[in-house]
Amino acid sequence: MNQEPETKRSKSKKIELIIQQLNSLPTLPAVAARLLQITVRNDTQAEEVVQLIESDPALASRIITMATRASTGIKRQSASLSKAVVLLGFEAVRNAVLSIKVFEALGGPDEGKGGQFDRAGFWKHSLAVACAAKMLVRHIDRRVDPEEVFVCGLLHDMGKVALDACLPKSFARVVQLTESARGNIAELEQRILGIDHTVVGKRLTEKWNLPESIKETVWLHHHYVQALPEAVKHRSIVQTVHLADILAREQHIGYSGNYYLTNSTQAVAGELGCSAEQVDQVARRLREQISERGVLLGLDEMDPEELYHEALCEANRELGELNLHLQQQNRNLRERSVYFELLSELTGSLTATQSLVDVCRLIADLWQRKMAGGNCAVYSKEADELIIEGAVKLKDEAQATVFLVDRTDDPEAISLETADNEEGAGFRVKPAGESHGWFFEQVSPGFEMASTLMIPLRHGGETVGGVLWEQAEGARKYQGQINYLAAFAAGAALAICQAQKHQELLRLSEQLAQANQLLHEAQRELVRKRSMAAVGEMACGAAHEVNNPLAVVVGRSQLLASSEEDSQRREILETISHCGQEITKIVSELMEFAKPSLPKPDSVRVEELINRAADALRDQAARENVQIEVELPGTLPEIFVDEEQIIMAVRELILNAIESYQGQGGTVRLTGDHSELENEVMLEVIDQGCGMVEETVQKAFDPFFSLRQAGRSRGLGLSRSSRYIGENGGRLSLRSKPGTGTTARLVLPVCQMAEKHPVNLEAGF
Amino acid sequence: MGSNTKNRSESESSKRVFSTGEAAAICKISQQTIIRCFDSGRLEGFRVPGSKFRRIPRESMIKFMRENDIPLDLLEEADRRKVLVVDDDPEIVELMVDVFERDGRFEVRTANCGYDAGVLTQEFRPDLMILDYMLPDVNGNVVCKTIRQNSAFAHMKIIIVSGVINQDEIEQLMKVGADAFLKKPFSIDELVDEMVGLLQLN
Repeated sequence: MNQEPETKRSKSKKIELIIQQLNSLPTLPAVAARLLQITVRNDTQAEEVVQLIESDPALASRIITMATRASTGIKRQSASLSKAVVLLGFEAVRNAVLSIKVFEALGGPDEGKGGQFDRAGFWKHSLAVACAAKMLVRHIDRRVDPEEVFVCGLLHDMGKVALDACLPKSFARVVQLTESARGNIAELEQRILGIDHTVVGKRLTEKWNLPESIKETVWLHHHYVQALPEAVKHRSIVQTVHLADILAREQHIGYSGNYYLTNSTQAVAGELGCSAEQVDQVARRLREQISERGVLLGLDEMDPEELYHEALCEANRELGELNLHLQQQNRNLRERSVYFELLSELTGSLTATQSLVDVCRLIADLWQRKMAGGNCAVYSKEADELIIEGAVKLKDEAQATVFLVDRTDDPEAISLETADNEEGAGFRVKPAGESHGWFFEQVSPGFEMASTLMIPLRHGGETVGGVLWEQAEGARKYQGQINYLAAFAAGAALAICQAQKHQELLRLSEQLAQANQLLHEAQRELVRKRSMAAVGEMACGAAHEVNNPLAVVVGRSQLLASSEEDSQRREILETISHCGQEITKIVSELMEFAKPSLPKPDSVRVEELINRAADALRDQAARENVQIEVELPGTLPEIFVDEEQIIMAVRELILNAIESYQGQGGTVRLTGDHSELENEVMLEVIDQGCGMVEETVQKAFDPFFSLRQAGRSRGLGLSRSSRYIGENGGRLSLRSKPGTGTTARLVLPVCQMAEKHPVNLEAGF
Repeated sequence: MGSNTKNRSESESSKRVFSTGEAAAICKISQQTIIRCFDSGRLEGFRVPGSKFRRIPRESMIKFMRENDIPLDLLEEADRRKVLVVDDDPEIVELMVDVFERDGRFEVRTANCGYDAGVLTQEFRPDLMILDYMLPDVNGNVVCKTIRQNSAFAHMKIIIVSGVINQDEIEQLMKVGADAFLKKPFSIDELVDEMVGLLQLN
């Protein structure tokens, strides 16, 4: 198998293997690490230690067992963990825990029986070293805590157990060779395994985060005491353990697996300042101490099976208690499950878009079938309490019916007392008669008031409705279930609240649709205004581009005309100049049309305005053989407009009316009226001229649309009128039929200060 | 139309009385020579009552110039009013220069941007400026405002000419110191009438 000497290469491979194996060892449980931390502190409270140990039931059981066995004064049944901790002391508990955990991780004294390595003997040796070290340290270094030295002594050879656990076969060979050769185990470990137990132990202490003192002891306890480097922090511990190890082996207590003694006890003790008497005293008391301590650590002669049995009994008792508790919970759960069934059925049936009454109907139906048996009703009320909607499910009917209590018209007629006055009283089942008189009056006289119970449905601090049901046994039936009832009520309330919100949302969306319609119209108007603005921009740009060349055309033609002798040619040049100026007028008008100057409104007398517009055109009308007749009632209020702009608009309308007679002659009538309701003045320009077809009427306000022959007019007339009227807060409309004439109707806002200029309202209407 | 061209020359708008300095500038001789001629009686004139300032009436200026073979054109030249035309459109500038040269009462210089207008105002010291509103660098109102800030040009007349402008803007222009506004395209008679009015040439 193992040929000696082995190559370095295969040795180092083995070391790696061992270290890998170490990694596969279980970690030291967190409870031990944590316990080490807290017991080092001075202010540690017993409860902390107790709590920590309680977290590991097996450990707790072990500690209690130790305490009871260490002290005959404690009866087993009354043993508690806290008593055990007080009795044993923190340090003892810490050491016990540490040892137990290390044993657990590496396998205790009852393991490894099949191998060469005698675990029980080994632990006995360890215990002997621990006890000896604890006693010896007093004589070596008084500053050191004896309990700490005890742990260090106990664990000083943990590397051996680790090797035995990781490499049982190889380690068995080491043990065998050591025994036959009566040699130094560490040397053989080095030879066979490539690593000795001190290094393995050191690695393990690092892996388990054990205290520095343990690590140093495990690693260096073979070192000759005077050879220990200064850097070793816990020199006296390591030295003490070294001395104790020798002492224990000299005393032949336990089995260390080592047969090699470098020095005698006396020699080492002398170097550590320990007298021969002191060492003797320790040696004498060692066996007594071992049995005492052994009991504490469960390393005495007691059969491990018994220990196990005790732990089982303990666990069984705890299980019994747990079972009782669970049975109680199970009973509660069965009761609760009815409510959860209800809730789950409710949530399963709900959809996002259900109407409020449908939700009420659903809840009523569920409640009636599952809980009430008798008649049942569910209602919803909104914050304003004006409308109460709900559903009634009678026990004899298959379908729930819907009801509605409308208090909109007269809230006082139906006095409403719901569960709102319950504020702060908490959730409870109560007789409905107390507060729901309205229900029996308005909704269902069929319910027997005396046996009707109710619960409020509350959500977010608001009562959103309630459930009423007949239950002859009264509210007492639900005692003890009130929490589950409340849970169901909360679910139902949520459903109702959601339906209420959904209903609100529907209403809101309808309002929004309406608002949207208005917005759409406004937008259309805006688009129209924008396109006008765009025309304006364009006209401005055109005007700028056109006016300079025009200025040159006009200027040059004038200059030529002034020096022209030939009258015919001069006339032509003057025509050119005139036409150039015409062009600029068109551009200017287009600009003004697209970007009109802001109206400067003032209170204006309608008669004056109309007469000014008409008078300006009488001559032209007369030429066309047209009469202009103004027929205004003397009662029209003043209007609030820019007079010049409206005159211009009216002139355009009159001009159109005149032209509608196409030179045939006729009458243009101007009439007026006043709408008090709308606070508007209506003016009409009426002709019986040629009229227009529908298509023409529709296009009449478009700029440059004209049925007249090209060149005769610019066609901005009507559109400009419409624009001015619009800018002044008025409206212009046309009614026309071919052959019968046209009526242009313009509506203008009345001056708000009309009261200041009293007009004779009685006379006119 | 075109009457201005014909009715020019000895109108009332011409200067009636000259100082010795003005006479020297017109005749292109030194002021000392004029004073010597005045004092020897070769150039007739009078002294301002209560002072020693010499004054030469127009008639004696003409007589003096004829006697000494000094071209009479020089006198006419001195009568001309200085006009600065500012417009970025060369054809407009050309048109105006034509009009003013034909008229004869104006001495014309031109600029095609606000910057040149400023430089020429300092250098040429015009009596009147015809200013296009839309200039490539700055707008007419800025030019107008800048000129008005200098008291040396307080008496300079400014006519703003533009094709695209609304009533409110015209009012603003008047506020920053324009004397008149004309819309493009303008009638040349209208323009000349406005200038004659502003310069009180009639």
